Amino acid sequence: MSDNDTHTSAVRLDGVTKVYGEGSAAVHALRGVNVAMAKGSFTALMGPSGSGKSTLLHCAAGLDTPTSGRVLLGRTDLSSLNEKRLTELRRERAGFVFQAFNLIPALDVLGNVTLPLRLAGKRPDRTWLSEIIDRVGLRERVHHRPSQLSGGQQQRVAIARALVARPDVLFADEPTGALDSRTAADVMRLIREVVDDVGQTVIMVTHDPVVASYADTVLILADGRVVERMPAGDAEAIARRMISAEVA
Amino acid sequence: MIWLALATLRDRKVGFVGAFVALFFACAVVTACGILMETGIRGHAQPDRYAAAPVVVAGANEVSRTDTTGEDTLWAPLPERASVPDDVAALVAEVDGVTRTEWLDPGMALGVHGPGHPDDLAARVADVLPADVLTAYTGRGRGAAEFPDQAESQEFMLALSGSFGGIAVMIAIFVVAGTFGLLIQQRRREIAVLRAIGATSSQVRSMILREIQLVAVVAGVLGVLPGVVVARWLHREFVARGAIDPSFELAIGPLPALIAVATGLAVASLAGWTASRRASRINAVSALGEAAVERTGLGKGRVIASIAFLGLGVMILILASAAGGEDAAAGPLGAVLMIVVAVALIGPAVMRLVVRAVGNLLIRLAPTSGYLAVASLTSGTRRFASAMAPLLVLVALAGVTIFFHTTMADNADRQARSGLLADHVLVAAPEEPGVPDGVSAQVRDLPGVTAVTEVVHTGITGYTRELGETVLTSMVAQGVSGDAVQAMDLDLRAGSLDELTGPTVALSTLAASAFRADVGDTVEVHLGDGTPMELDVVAIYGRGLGFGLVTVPDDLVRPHTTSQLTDQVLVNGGDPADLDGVLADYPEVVAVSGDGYLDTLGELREDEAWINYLVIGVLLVYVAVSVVNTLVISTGERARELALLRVVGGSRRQLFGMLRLEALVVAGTAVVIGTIAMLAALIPGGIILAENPIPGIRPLIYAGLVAVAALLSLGAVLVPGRLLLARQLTVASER
Ligand SMILES: Nc1ncnc2c1ncn2[C@@H]1O[C@H](COP(=O)(O)OP(=O)(O)O)[C@@H](O)[C@H]1O
Ligand SMILES: [Mg+2]
Repeated sequence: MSDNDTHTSAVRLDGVTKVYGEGSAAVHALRGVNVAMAKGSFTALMGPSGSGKSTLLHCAAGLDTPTSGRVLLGRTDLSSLNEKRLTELRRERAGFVFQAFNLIPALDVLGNVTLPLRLAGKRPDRTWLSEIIDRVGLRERVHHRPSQLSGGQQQRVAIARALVARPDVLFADEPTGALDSRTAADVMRLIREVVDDVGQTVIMVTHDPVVASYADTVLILADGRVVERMPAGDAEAIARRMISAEVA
Repeated sequence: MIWLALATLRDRKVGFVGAFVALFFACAVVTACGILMETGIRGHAQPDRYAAAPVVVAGANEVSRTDTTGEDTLWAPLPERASVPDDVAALVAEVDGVTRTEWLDPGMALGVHGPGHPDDLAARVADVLPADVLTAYTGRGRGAAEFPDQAESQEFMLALSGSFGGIAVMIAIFVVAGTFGLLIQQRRREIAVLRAIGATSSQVRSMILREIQLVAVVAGVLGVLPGVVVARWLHREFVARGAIDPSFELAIGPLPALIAVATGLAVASLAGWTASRRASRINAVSALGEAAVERTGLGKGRVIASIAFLGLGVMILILASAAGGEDAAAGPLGAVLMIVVAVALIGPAVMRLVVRAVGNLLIRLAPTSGYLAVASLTSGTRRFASAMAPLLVLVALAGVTIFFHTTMADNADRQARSGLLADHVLVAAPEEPGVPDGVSAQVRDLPGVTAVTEVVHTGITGYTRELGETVLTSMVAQGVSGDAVQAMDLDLRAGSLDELTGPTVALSTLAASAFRADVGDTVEVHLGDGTPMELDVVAIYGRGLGFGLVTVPDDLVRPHTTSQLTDQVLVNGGDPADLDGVLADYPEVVAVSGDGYLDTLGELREDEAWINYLVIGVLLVYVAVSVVNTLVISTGERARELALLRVVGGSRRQLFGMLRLEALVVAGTAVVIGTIAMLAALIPGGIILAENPIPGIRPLIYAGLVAVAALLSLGAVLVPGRLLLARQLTVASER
């Protein structure tokens, strides 16, 4: 799947708009977004609540279709894909981590982690699986059910599952939103390691400047538009820019 | 916390609609049964012509006895009506206080006039009447005397509404309990928050109970009207098919509606109480975490109750087998009810066992869908068990109701076919009361005729033993004249039919066990019209289902029947042309071959089954609603799980496959256990009643039953499943 053209972005959105509803009830969640994320980059999407962060992520990942505009995952134009191809794309080229309810309660840790492979009818790559399990530190708990894990452990399982198929892009929507700051820091360190060690492309929504500071680049959204693009730097700088974006 | 309130409100709407639907239909069905039962109890016809006299003397319509302790009253309806002889009429006219008598129906009903309260007059008149045979009727009772068919209609209504209502209430308990279980499961988070902010577990419990009771009352009140409609429809069908007399009108009063609403409230409170007890134990921390996984353990109480019900089922079978007579017929249904309750109580454990047994096979057949289905079946056994229970009840009860009838019909047919030796059967033409007396004498003189047997079909009421107590049991009886040994082979086990003259009786093995009697013993009975008599047992025979549970001399019982006519004449040998010659003078009699007669009997037995189909049909609709209800709720609950599976890369086809396999496992479990429960009742029932273990299952009807169970289950999962799978994937990330 991966191509050698290093100039191709991992994800690119061209003039993407998203309108929910119609007429006077219409909500313009995205008002023309043009962004590109390079391979191996770690991007944080920030912005006030309702600014369209989740919508952007959903459109980028093919969970939702834009009202207009184009989304490219690698060289694949998502709008050209039918339902079946989109499903294949999701399980082979994208990984997802949400704030909560990431796991299938009926499956144990190992079952959850290997689920995308099973759905694709593929055998797990033993060494890679083993490496992921070790990375997320769940070797002792592979046969535990999600309900037997702490919130931080559950997010680690979700990250392991998102990585198991070696996706082109890892999409995360507030992955630490339900965690305390220490556990959040652990999870963020884990994501950062994956970016640094494996060259994983990551796009993550967050409203927490501290969390965003683990990224390479921060995009700030306001009212459906990208209003700022800055290197992540330290949390305080991000917080200041956030406030100015909100005021603007 | 707004999200919580909104989310629970949205979820709760589905849950409460489900509970509402379950209770609404439960109330409708219970109301319908209640109306039929009240009609059975109150449904005496008003006397019309017989109202002309304050007291009416006519044949008794029931026999009753007060036992030695003076408490329990033995009671049984009588199949025949005695006539009122002239000498009795003369005696009545002489009774103190009687001013005038008149024939309301000559020879059948005598109107008695006199001053004072009719009951006092009746009591004095009764003193001169032959006990048990003639009755002095007063008030509404005169209606029963005027319309003797009413009593039959009444009995029919009571028996039907009793069994129908019992099954309906039981299904209602399973369905309502299952629905509430789901409702509570859905509200775990809300409850956890309440607990976290300091609500005591009893506050949580009473909140849930209040809500449930409110829903129960509203649903109950609204369910009354459809119940009335169902009762009217059933009544119309019964009349149209001749099961009840057209003059027997539906009695619609407020009582059934009140009982139905109260039953709904009671069932809901019971179900709500158990569910809320579980809910109030919810641990705040665990419930707020990852999507809930069910508690897997089974309560000790459930296991004990389940074992108790299983034991009860076995006991009922044993008791029924000892009861003999027609009471034994009630055994299988009761036993199945108990077995089904026993299984439903430990439903989650049963589902777990089933999944363990078929899990590997499913995964081998469908690696992805099978794997997902097995995982969700394993972790959601409680949910799947509550969908399985009503299906199980349906398969088991419909199966046993329908196939008990066919099993007995098959056995009766088999016995009649192997036992009937006569070559020709003379029967009354349609609408004719019987075969006139002269016929058999003329037939006997025909060339080639070796035996002629007159047969009268009636009933006797016997004092039998049950659980060490004496009870009155109605038994089908045949009266046969001298040549019976040549006309029918009753499969004699002891004694001889040659001695069947005078006050004697031959008992089928079933009747013998009910009387605890053997050859040489004496049994105490009432003949068809109520005449008390002691009969010497001269023979025991095997073919009771085919020919009648007891056999008595024709000349002993025929005078005690309403028509006093022969029902059939069995002829051995002779030429059909000669027979037709004799019958030319008797247009009210037709001759058929032995086989032709048996075929007609078989068809009649099949026709009797319609009543089962009708009632099963109503219950089927009810169960269908319940199953769909439960499954729709539990599938709806999985919106997030399905969306998440799609996000992670599951195709619609795979998830559809998963839902389909789950539905099939649920239906399959219900069918297999339901069939086992059914056979567990039918096989012993057949052995006890007919010494034949082979149940008379009609493959087509059985296949239909299985198909209905599978379709209900599949439809109820796949339709909402399709809607959910068509929804936005972004619900996976909603909070
Ligand atoms: N399914 C939907 N239907 C209607 N409006 C929606 C839907 N999803 C999001 N919105 C609206 O679109 C806007 C952007 O939402 P979202 O992308 O979730 O914002 P964020 O994640 O930045 O908080 C908000 O105004 C939200 O109410
Ligand atoms: Mg968001």
